[in-house]
Amino acid sequence: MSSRDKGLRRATAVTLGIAAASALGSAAVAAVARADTQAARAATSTSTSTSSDETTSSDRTTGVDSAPPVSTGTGPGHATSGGT
Amino acid sequence: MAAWGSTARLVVTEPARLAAASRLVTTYLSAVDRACSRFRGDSEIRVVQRAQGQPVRVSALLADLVAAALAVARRTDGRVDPTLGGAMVRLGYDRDLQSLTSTGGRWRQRAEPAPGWRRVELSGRELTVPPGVLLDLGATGKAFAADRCAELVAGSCDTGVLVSLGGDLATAGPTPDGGWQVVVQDRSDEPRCVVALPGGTALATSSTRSRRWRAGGHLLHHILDPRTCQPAKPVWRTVSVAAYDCVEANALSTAAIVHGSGADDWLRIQHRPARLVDASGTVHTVGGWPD
Repeated sequence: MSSRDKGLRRATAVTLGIAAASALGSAAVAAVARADTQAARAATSTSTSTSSDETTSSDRTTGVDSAPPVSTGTGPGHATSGGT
Repeated sequence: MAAWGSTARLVVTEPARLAAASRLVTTYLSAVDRACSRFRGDSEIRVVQRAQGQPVRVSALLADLVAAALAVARRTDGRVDPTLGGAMVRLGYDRDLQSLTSTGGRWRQRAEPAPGWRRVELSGRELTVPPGVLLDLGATGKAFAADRCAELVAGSCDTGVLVSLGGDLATAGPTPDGGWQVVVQDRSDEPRCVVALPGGTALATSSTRSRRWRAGGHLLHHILDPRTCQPAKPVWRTVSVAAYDCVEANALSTAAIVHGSGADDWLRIQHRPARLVDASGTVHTVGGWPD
């Protein structure tokens, strides 16, 4: 069994460089390269298929009644959830 | 990364996939911004606003974003309403928050209900909003983007991933040993805890103390009550909710802020782990949130 299967993973974090905008506001997002444009097509394709299914993330979970298991964590954290 | 006036963070379990994951996220966020920025004259929602009630064929992405916003409005009994864009503008939140803070703004205190999400029509990719209505998808758009970015990265880059957009975070793919460790804290002087999340779950925090601006001598926050189009009463400093996707987590945390008194009981019947910090700084937990 690989380390991945065992879940023995170390997480690598990055702070990326997208220019600041606002709450879904004006965006001076960095110019994208050709590879990024291709990725955008993939993203759009994903959205299209979802749209045709007429489902949303919210819809998908409507029938999930069990609460996600949240436990006490440790350490500095991979990320922070603060006010938005 | 900084995105939409807040910090975005990307964490992967496979370091070699980080660059590719970063490109995916950057590109997707750019597409979302083009679709639904209130502050870009060339965004799709501004085009829809200028259509003055006529139907507009929109991108698949904006159709998905609006569908998610309408589902959230339905799920929350209208407490989270996407037709508050005009109210935001009237309160002075009409540009990037950082520039707003430095320049001040207007404030007109007049309680009036939002146009209402039920008046927004979406049929496939044909979107119709009432004349003059500016959509504000900020409440759900960021959470939607977090969900989709996590799905994209996990699916395309074969890695476990956590995507956090301003503290609304989604995870997908393999999980780090011990789970995703998330600090839950609004500001440095606020109560803090650390929770562990399994992969495929999400967490969102809404706050009446962050994303504030001054207008007309008043300190305003950005979570509006659709019944009045005014900032919700700050019964809670923050509400954090864990769910199986970030759209739902954000919907419940935002709705709880709007709900005000009794939101802890309301969240309890939603069967989602939640943590609420009241106006005095006391922490309340429901739904299996660890003490």
